[in-house]
Amino acid sequence: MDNKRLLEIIAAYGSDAARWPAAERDDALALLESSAPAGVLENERGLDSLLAAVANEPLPQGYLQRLNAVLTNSRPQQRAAEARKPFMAVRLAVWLRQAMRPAILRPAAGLCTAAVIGLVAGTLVPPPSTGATGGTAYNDQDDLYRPVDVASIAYGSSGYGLVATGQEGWGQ
Amino acid sequence: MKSIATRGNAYEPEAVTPLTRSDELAVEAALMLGVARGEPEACRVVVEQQGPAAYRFAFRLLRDSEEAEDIAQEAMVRLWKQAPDWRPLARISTWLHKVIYRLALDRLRRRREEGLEAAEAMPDPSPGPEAAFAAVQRRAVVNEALQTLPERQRTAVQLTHFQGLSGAEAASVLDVSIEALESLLARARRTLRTTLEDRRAELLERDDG
Repeated sequence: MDNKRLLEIIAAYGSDAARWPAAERDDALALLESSAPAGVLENERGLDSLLAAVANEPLPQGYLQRLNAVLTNSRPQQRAAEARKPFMAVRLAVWLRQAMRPAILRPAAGLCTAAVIGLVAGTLVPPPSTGATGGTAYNDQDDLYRPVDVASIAYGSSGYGLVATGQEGWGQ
Repeated sequence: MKSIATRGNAYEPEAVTPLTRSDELAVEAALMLGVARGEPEACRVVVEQQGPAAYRFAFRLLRDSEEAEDIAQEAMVRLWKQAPDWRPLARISTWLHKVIYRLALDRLRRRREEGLEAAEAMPDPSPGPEAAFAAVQRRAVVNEALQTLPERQRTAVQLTHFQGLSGAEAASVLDVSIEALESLLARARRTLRTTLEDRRAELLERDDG
């Protein structure tokens, strides 16, 4: 940490050390105490106090209640449950194959296996989007740009796993 | 180093404990697991911790209360949907701010395409009593100054000064390096200082009034 970097930090983050990068904060404060040019924070303090005037925009009345109501009617994705379906189908295919091992049953076994594979494919392939849902959304931690169906996420389900008290909130 | 003030339950331990980043990520992952399981306490904590910030960030980007609430709700619903797959890679707030930022950019783009100007009046959801008039006016002046900044500079200031994100988290939301973020912030603050200096007399007058 040198004076140049200290001035860069103050120019970017302002006078409040709480906003400074955590990894550099202690060194920056030590430098400020020991050898930084006098009054280096003064310019920034004035601006910070003005910015503080807009720090807490008021929330609209009833906002959290409305938010709770919307979330109560939403449900987390059931990936785990969905993932079990193909697994069970594969087990069924293996069982069918073993049950129809005699040569005479092999054509029937082939047909049954094909049917099971079709079933598996059907569970794995999502239905096509109608394109009428309006807009894209971002729903993945790795890739926020993956488009998903907004309407089905926001309005397509109800009440899973959350308390359904008939009132807004989380049943507290 | 950040800490969490808590209320004495599984998600909000009683003491104010300094947390490392990995601690924070682990606590939040536990919270999200609770949300995925539909545990009321986890849901309540996440709504109370993230809901207000979600609205405020959306409002700061859009300057329209109704649209801001719409986007904040949409982002929170996405968070709920993401809960079963949540991994401790990023803070909940960083993820949420990213989603809100993208959604707000979509709205702003649509506004431009439809030829609509951003709400000039900047509707304030709280009417504000007479005694708070000067503060409301001062807020209006500062907000006007913020609105004169280029979009990315303004968002950088909003994320670090008002939304409580660290530089690294804000850089992640804007998808830029830390150096680029600091450059955006420094330019924004320089412009704001000049703009607000020009209006210093007005601000002082409002303070006196």
